[in-house]
Parts: sequence; C-alpha cells; structure tokens
Amino acid sequence: MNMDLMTVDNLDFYYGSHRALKAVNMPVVKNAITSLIGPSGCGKTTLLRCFNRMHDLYPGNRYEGAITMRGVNILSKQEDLISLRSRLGMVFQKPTPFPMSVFDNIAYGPRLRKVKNKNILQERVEKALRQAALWDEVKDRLNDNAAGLSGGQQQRLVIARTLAVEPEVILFDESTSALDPISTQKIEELMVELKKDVTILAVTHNMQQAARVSDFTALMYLGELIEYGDTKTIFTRPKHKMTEEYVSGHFG
Amino acid sequence: MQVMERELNNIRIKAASMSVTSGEMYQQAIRALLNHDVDLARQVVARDRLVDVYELEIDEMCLNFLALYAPKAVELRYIVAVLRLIMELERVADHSKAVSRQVIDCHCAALMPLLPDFETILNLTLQMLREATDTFFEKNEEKYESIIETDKKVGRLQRDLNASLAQLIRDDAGNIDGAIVLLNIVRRVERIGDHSKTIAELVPYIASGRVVRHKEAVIDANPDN
Repeated sequence: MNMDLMTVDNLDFYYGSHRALKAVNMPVVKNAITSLIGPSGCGKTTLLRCFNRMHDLYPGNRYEGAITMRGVNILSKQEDLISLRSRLGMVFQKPTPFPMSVFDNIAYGPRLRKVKNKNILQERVEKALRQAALWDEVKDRLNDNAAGLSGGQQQRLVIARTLAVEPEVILFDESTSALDPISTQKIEELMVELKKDVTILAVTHNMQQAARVSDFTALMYLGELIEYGDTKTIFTRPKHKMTEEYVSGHFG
Repeated sequence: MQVMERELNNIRIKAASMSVTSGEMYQQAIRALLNHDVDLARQVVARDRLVDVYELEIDEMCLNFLALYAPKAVELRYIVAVLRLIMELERVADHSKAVSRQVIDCHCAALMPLLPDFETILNLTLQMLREATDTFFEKNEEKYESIIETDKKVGRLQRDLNASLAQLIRDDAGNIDGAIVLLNIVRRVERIGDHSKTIAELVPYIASGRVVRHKEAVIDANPDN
C-alpha cells in the first residue's frame, strides 16, 4: 500500500517577482522513487530545492502554499533548517566531496551532531559506505583523500555522507548526469536498493532513467505540474497530450 | 540492471505458464476427441478464457518493458519474440477450443477408425507444439530444424487425410456430415502445427536475429535508397 510521506499543496515559488512554480500539487510516496522530468527551465530543480529550503540561502525568494510532512508545513518560518536538511539530504549533479579523508567525509555529519565515540563513528561510517555500495572499494583507503576517488565513487561517497545522518528523504538533482554509463548504472541500482530505507525524489534530464528507476513520475512545464502518475502509466498511456509528446521526444 | 532482469524474468515465467496451459488444452482436446469425452471438452472450452487473460497480461508486461527499459539487441529481440509467441499460443488455444466444441456438438467418432493417419497427425502436432515451446524456453537452436521437418510430414498427412475423406464422401453420401467435421478438425490441427513451426522459428531470431521464415522473400535493408 502506498503511503504519502509528504504532500505538496498549491505550492507557488517566486524568485523575487518571477513566479517560478505555479500552484503545484503532488504527493511524495514513502519508500518510493519519484522522478521530476521536463524541459530546461520548467521548474523541476526549483521544486526539488523547495523540499530542503535551499532557496532560503538567497534573499527575495518566497514560498506560498505548503509542503506538508507529518502534518507540519516544512516551509514555515519556524522550521529548523539544520534539522530539516539532515532529514532531507541532497545529492548534486557533480560530486561534492569535502577536501578531507574518505572517513572524515562520512563522519562529518555525525560529528556535527556531537557523535564523538570512535567506535560509534566507525560503525556509522562503515554502515553508510555499505549502504552506498562503496565499502568494498574504499575499506582499505579510508584515510586517503576523497579527491583521489573516481567520479562515480565520489558520487557514492556523497550519497554515503548523506546516509550517515540517517535522512528520511534523499533529493537527487541530476546526480548521474556527470557520470559515465557504468557509474550511472551503479547509482541507479543503489537508488533502487536505498528506497527500502529512504524516500527518493529525483530530478533528471534523462527520461530513460526516470523510466528505468522511478515508481512515480511528474512532468513539469513552465512552472506547472502537467501530469503526475505511476511511471508505467506516464510512459505508456499518459493522460495529457503534452506528456505524450514529451516522453516520445516530439515536444517543442 | 537487476530490476530490468527481474522484469524480464517475470515475463519469461508468465509466458512459460501460458505455453503450458495452451499445450495442456491441446492435449486434452485430443483426448476428448479420441475418447468422445464431452466433459473434458467442456473443460477445454472453459480454459480458453485463461489463455486470453495470459495474452493480455503478457502483452501489457512487454509494453511496459519496452517503454521503461528501452531494451537493445538480444533483449529487444526476446521481447519481440514473446509478443509473437503469445499470439501463436492464443491461436493454438482457440483451435483447441474449436476442436472441443466439435466434440460437444456432434458425434464425429464414426469415421475415425477408417482413418489410421488421423491419430498420427494429432500426436505429431502435439509433439511439435511441445518441442517448439520447449525449444523457445531452452533456447535450443538445434531442435528447431527437426520441428520444421515434422511440419512437412504434417502437411503430407493433411493432404492424404483430405483425399481419404473425399473418397469416403464419394463412397457413401451418409458420410458427408461426419467428413465435413473431420475436414474442419484436420485443418485446425494442421494450423496448430504451423503455429508450432512459427514458435520454433523464433529461436534463431532471439539468438542472433536470424530470420528463417519466408526464405524466398528478400528484404531491402535500406528501403529509402
């Protein structure tokens, strides 16, 4: 049975006076992968960034409407952003390892949360690296600088770093577009594996990736949510003509 | 990718179940015919709906697989082959149902003892169907050659049986009703042999893309030129 972890209710988002999201409504199903697709500038990344309040970093940005998680609007001014962002981790397009050892990268989050016990830290690091399917490749080089890992390994390291603070949601922003096909496949398999533990929301330009990995897909265009549905339906019998045209590559 | 392989396996399992069901239906139709077992014939007629459901389900699974995983090379050929397979199996089930209907509707047993080849063609086509579906799922390219040989034999038997039935009609006008029913059954049985051959021909296609049907037809690889 599908259970919604979050719901987006009539969400508008403004970059200053520009209305970038227009009355978006959609659920985010727990322990499932939801993909956001659409042409460049359609608002899919803007929507993804609302979930962990990334837009708050810049003045003049404004949310209207709600993203509700367990009855609480996470867009409210009272929301503690540090706690929110540890519950909703984010993985970006390019790997962003910190300039420190593999171990310290993963231990960074737990240490911020005042985990000092060496054994507990070691356990956390190993667990996160195993969850990210990276442990076997790095277990003998935990003290090496993370910059020495390959691009695909760095991206899995970043996922492990996100997992180390035990998030409920991971937001993937084009997280495989800078990777080669083999690394991409590893990340995709990892995403499918991870949905046992977390809920995943992913922005992708790669429609085939959305089709392969996600359970639900949302198509956006010009700041509006055109169609949301289970991935099979979106890719075989979409309700909207625009979705039909977009997934078949005849759009625009 | 593991998810893709899992889905492919689900398609394979469902298609194999459909093969078993269609094969059993034909076997039961033959038994009902030879023993004039009306109850068994009724069971075959009822089972046809199950095969229709299989066809719709597998069709849908293949459509989803194509849309979601955009398979290439051997996997693409496999899905295309499964889509053909289920059409053939559905036809086999239809013919089995039609033969069973004849068992229910009329008594056609009287002329059967006069036609020793009749039971032979039934058994040969059943054997062809079994070998064809086994070959499909085992991907055994060598077996398919023997199925094609058997199909030629079935063609010859059909011609002989038609001639014998025509002779029976000429001999005694009282045989007309029974002979017409048997002509119809022989035609359907021969069609089941054809469907089996088509299924067997899919095996080299899956393995290497080799098309072995319609040998005399040559396609232009670049029709636009």
